[in-house]
Amino acid sequence: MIKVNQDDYAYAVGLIRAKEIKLLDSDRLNRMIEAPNAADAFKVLTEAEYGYGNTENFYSFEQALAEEMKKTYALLAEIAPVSEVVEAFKRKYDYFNVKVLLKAEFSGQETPQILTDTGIFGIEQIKRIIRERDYNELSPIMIQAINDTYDTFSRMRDPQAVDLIMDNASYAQFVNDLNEFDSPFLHELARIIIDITNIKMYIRARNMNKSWDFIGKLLLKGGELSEEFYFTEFDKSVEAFVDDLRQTRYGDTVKRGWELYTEKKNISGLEKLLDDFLMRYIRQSKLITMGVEPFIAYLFAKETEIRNVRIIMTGKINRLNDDLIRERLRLGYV
Amino acid sequence: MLEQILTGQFLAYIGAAFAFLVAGFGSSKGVGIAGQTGAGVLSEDPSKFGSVMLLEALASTQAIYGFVIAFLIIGKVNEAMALQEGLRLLAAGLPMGVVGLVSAIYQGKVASSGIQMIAKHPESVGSAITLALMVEMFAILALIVSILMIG
Repeated sequence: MIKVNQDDYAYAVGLIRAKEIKLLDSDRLNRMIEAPNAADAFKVLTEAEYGYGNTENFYSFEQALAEEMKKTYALLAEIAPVSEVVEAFKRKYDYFNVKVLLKAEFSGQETPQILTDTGIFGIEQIKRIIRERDYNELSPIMIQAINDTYDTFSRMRDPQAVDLIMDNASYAQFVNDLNEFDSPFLHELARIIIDITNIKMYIRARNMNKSWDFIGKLLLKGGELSEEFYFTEFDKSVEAFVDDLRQTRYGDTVKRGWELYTEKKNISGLEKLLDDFLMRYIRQSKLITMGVEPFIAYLFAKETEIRNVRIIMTGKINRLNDDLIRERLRLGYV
Repeated sequence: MLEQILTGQFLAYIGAAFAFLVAGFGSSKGVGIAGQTGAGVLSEDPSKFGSVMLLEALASTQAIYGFVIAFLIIGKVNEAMALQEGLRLLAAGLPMGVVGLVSAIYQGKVASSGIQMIAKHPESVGSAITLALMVEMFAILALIVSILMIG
């Protein structure tokens, strides 16, 4: 358990509050959406001092986003009283890298150029760890995931299984890290993330007609909804599952998402609604003036912002309708 | 031996030391918290220095009150004072010390929150100061009680 000494966060919280006013609010996101073309939309980002300013035109907006993420992590690592706060967030980039490396190894291809150096381990370091199978520095959850991946792949030869195992482990790691902090707010956050991830996975898996064996293995433990709940639901239809969620706090959200799904045959609407549910919880930390919560909330805020910017820029480049872009946007922190 | 140390004079000095030490500790902590938050805001937006400094300084008054009480007590001390008289002055130092400690820390926290507020809404510096000043009232009451006890 990492003790949270609230007063240690006094400096960080002050800086974060001053940074929060620079987050892209709905006004600025709207300006991006309503811009006549991608180049004009990109100008809003340049004004917001996105990235390190190395990006010349909107085609390389991904580079600006990656730089912005790196910049955020560099800043927060500098002001964090304990490094674990930032590491909890950085680990998912390690999982991403390991996933890419393992898939390349299984398919016998060269390592693709998409590795990111935002994680805890540098690119060369993680390459060496996977190549030499030297797992000493890795966390137990990651070692377990890597072993599972080797094992599953040798049996099933299915590269999709690599994605599933590593993504799942990445979430398990994140909620595990959040639970390490002595903070009821973060424990509740972990529970919500577990439930949301499980609900998304469950509905998706049921739609693909997967077996209980498959679902049971991917369910994250420790949420408000137990494994038994999903197990009993497995005998019923997905509609009944949505209906049974009614008594939980996810009831309305999942119901609306399911209606969207039956309308459009696309699960992304449901996923967006669940992400917004999580953001509504995180928004509560605006009222917490001292401690680790505003810190964690800022990272969420920035990640959601970057995600929204990506949705807008991709939409603009592909000349999507404004409303279509707006529909996909996640609820922001500000 | 003990009678030589436990004189009225000695007890009165303890009262003076308590009032200043404890209230001063509270102020240091309160101003410290507010100052750290202030530094965080200023590192991003140096133009807010004026209002940040004002809010940061609010929690320092408890130490000043503690100083006043210590000063008044020391003024009453003389070598020949009775044990009872010394004890009375010791007791007089307690309200300022204890209330000063607690109110300074909490005032520092309110000031820190206020600094976070003006980071977002610079125009609300007035409300931020008013909120922090609410806590000041308790320190002032303690000051009055201590002064009345010194007599």
